[in-house]
Amino acid sequence: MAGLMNAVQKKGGLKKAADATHDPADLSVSNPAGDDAGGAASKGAAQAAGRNASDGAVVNASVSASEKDDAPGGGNAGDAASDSASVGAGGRDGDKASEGAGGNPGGNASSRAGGAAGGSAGQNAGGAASKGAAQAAGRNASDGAVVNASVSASEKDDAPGGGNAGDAASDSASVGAGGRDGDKASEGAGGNPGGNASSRAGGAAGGSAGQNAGGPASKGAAQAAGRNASASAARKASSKAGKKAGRRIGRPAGPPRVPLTVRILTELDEALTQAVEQTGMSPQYIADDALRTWLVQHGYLERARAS
Amino acid sequence: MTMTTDVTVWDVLERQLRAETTLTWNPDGPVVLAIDSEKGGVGKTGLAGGLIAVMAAHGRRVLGIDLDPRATLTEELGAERGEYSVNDLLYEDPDADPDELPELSGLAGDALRPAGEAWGDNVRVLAAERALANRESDNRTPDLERRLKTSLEGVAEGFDLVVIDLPPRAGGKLVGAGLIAATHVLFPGTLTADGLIGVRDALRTYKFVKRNNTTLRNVGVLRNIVDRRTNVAKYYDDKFIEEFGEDVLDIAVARRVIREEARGACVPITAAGDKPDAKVLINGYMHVLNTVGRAA
Repeated sequence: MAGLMNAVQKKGGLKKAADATHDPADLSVSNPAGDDAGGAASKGAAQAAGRNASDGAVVNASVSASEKDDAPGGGNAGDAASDSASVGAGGRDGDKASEGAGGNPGGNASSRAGGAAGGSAGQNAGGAASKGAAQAAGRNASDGAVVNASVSASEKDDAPGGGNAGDAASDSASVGAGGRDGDKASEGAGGNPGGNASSRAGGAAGGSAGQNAGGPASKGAAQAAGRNASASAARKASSKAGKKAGRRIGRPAGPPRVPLTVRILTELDEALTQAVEQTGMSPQYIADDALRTWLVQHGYLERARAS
Repeated sequence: MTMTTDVTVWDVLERQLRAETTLTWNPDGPVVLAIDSEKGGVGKTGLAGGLIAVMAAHGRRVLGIDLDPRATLTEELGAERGEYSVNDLLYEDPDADPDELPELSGLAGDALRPAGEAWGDNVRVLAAERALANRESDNRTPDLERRLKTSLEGVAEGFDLVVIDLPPRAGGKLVGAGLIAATHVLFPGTLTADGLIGVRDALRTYKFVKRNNTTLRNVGVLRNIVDRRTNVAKYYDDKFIEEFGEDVLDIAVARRVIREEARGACVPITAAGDKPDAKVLINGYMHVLNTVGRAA
């Protein structure tokens, strides 16, 4: 009956399930193919972040965001995301982080996860890595806000610079606030109906992100994302969006900035990702520098100053 | 063959034993039989193992598919060792390049394991493993519930009977995958409250799944592991007929300790075919197979 084993010749095709070694009873470790985990798992950073770690990741995201509130533009929203990813990965589940990040030890894994998340977040408004981080983060905190964050982020993957990371984050906050808990969002946003509430929350958060170096906006977004599971999440998100966060003592304020959303060529985007990852610079500075060079070369900067 | 009289299950068992039984298996195409109850302990796996044993002993080719993450059928069939399980068939990396994924149709052929030596050469197994429970929370594998059916294309045809042992769950992805892959479904129930509830709920799920698998056929409700007549057993026997009516089959499988002994030893019940109790069970399984064969 040897033929039974080869009833159909499909040899070499089947592969082990990614979670074949994941015990279904172990809720402390992310299931790579679970509710929100799959894509994240395959992208390293997300595989690293465990269910509970991801909870922490969101908290860490907000902490990181607030710590970086003096840094320019939404780039720091991206940094915050990467920090959260790396903390979530390395801190909570170092072994898996190292697997997910390519076999490096925990420390490297977390920095790599963070780097990837930061790069994408900064340049691609939270593209793949930040999406993974957001999904991983959302697993327990759950939520739509985080998922929305990743969706918003990925939708904005053509937007330039860290500023858009801030935008994406703020968008996610507004979606989270308006979509998940619209009533409360509207209360928090000043009594407007749900739809307006979410727009307003998003707008305000986006503004803050651009103008205030992504601090309050990304903090608000992260808080909204992380706590959207609770009823107070939307209220917090919207109330945060409506006011500027205080600057931390000892941190110098950067020059005033405004948000700008444009689409850039994928080739430039990829190069920018590499530059950010390798130099550790915020894409904000690179964008500033590139613009300045061009505007000076063509005389526009001088003319603008003169007027 | 359905129950249309008020004959008790004990009368049925007596009549079964008096009748000389031979296997009359002659369906036109492959039969993929799901064994379903949404309560545990009603004899799903024991029935699956018994049917596989009798078919194999008659030289028929049988595939056992274990969709229960507890993997008790896998264990009984002596198929714990092997690289791939049914979990691997049901999983797909949604981030993979679709062009690089293997063709799903017929992929079950990669995961077949031989049963243990005691089961002979006619039995193959799609084994379960504990990680199979992860599929219940898998919201990323595309079209998970249809993967088993597709992967069996061209594979099921190599067997006279495919038996799917479903987990005792209220619906869910694994039960859905099994019922969508099946051509027929059999509902065993013990004469207990659990047995009644398990069949009742499984019939409900069956009706939902049948909307997607319109060719799925209900073989009937099988009174299983029937013990001696007691007031409570008689009460539930009446309840089975009252509630499930003509779905109740006029065949039954008796309770015999030797079934558990065979199961524990991971050998087919037919290996003890010379013992009176084993003969009773084999007789019951053969009646079940003939009923399934006629329904096919």
